[in-house]
Amino acid sequence: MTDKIKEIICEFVKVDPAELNEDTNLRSDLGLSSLDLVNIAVAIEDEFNASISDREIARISTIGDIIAYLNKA
Amino acid sequence: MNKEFEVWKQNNEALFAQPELENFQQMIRRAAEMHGDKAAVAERVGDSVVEHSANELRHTVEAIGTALIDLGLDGKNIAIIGENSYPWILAFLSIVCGVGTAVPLDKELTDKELCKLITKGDVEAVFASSTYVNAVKLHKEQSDSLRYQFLLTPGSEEGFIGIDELIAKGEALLNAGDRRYLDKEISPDDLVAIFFTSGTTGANKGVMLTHRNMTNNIEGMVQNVVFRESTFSILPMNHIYELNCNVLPLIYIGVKICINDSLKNLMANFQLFKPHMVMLVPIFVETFYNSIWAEAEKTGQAEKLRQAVEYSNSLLNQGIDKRAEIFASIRQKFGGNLSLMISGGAPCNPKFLKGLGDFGFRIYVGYGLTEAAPIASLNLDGGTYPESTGIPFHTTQYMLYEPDADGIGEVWLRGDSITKGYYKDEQATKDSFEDGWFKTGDYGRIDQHGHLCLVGRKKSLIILNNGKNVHPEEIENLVKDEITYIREIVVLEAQKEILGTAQQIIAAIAFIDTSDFPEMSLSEIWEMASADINKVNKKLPGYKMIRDVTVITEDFEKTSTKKIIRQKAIEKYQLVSSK
Repeated sequence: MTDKIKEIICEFVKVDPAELNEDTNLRSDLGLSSLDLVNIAVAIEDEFNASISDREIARISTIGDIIAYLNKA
Repeated sequence: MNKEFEVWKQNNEALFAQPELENFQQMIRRAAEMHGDKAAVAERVGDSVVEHSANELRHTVEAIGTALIDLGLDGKNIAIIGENSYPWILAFLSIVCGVGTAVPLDKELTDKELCKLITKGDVEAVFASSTYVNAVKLHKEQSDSLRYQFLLTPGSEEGFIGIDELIAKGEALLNAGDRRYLDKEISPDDLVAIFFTSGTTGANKGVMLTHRNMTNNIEGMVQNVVFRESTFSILPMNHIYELNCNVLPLIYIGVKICINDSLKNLMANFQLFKPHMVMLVPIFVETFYNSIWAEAEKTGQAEKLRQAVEYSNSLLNQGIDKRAEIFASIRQKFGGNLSLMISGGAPCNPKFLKGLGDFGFRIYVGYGLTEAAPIASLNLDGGTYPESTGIPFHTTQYMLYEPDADGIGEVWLRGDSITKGYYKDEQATKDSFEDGWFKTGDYGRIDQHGHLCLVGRKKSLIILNNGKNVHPEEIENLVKDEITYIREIVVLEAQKEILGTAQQIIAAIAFIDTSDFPEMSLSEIWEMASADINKVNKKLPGYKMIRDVTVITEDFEKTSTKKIIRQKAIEKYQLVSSK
């Protein structure tokens, strides 16, 4: 799951997936805007057949947050 | 513009024949009488669009309102927490057209923050979507002040009354002759809503707005703005900007409101609804602009697009406007009909406003605040004069308090749209007014066209010991424009030892993403940033130059509305620079 999430994120920002870890902050480490996170969430929804509300998206800061959300769902 | 407005006026005779709007009960009735079965609101349901007419809107509002009165909520404060939706609009209007005071709450707040405001706002009932059921339940565990909970979304929740049930109950009461809601007398000075503002210090003040405050803003829109056939509602309705510049005025004026249900569906909904206009905040202006150019780069069309902009602007200089044809494919990206964008909520970088104006989008730029319900000034030509926020809006007056040598002073406002104060906060109210003027805390100057140009916020103002004022935002914008690898920057005053003496200087703390420079050490990045900032300094007068730079590798702490908490940034600077 983690590898797939990293792969999706790398479609939105030019970074080596090997440099990403669970603590990577999507906003401050990768410079992604809140609208970028919305687009990433859509891709994650499609990949994992999940549903992430706008409110939950606003709370996501790190890759770890995404993993935790998907595990809880 | 005058000709355009005259044509608009001729095509909307019924609207302009109305006497001045005084309250929302009048608004909803007049809207139904003028627009009848014409679509007032459109929402996405599955892959289709469902439309609701002005007649239907009025009828449903009256049904819900009657049910609320029957439940004993007359004169009470009722909160609304939820995503943008037709039920959200129904909830707001049913409250304000004859029940009590609406308390729209920010849907980005945490459950705990929402609980705090439900208590602070003396809320006795709440409309909530399923996303916020837990927040309501949390409050119920702490207090028994909430008497009723209503569900905005389909489905059921224990302890909640569904909105469909409320409508059915109200319809039954109306059919039985119940007129308590319909006959309710409303004074223009009755409190219609309390809007809690997000402060960078964390203190939420409840701005009290009356019917007069909000309908004055609506009248201003009627008297000054040419609208298009349909509008797109993207921004949160709980915020006064979206609510009283887009949703409510356009129900009255008869422009169809197309609701974007989720940011996830934004671009798909542009294609679905094909809206003619949209209200935006700067992050969207910037994102739209950047996405147009990113796509051009990706498809190898960037140079062609640059040349097209140059060609189009040269034609414009000769009075020939071919932008709709030249940039038709860009308009297609937004559904094909979009011709008007309105930017407000925060200052927008003029580069993006001008950039979108180059593509033929008409740009309005507004300056406002919740306390002004919200528009204080409006610029109807933001594509050409992006630095200006325009002239005073409608009956609002502004003045600059104690302008300095550069003509910059604090913006003070007065008029019928200005709040009377903050809910149960006499001190904050007292501190915000002087001689009948509301002190905004924003600083600005009047340009050669007589337009207000904002400079920055009072709280961030640096006053040097030589009497000069420095507005950090001016310097911050300049640095970010010139040095694109600096993600965020905060300019502040500091003390630096120069030749054995502590001197007051302008300093900066800059957030740089080190992954942008994988081959460089932090000290090398600092040297590069310092050198580049020195180049920017050459564009500034001596007293504004940045004399000390600290680089941080983590973003600043921000509020729920994405504004940097300046005080925390200053503390961080003091911590890092002392090491």
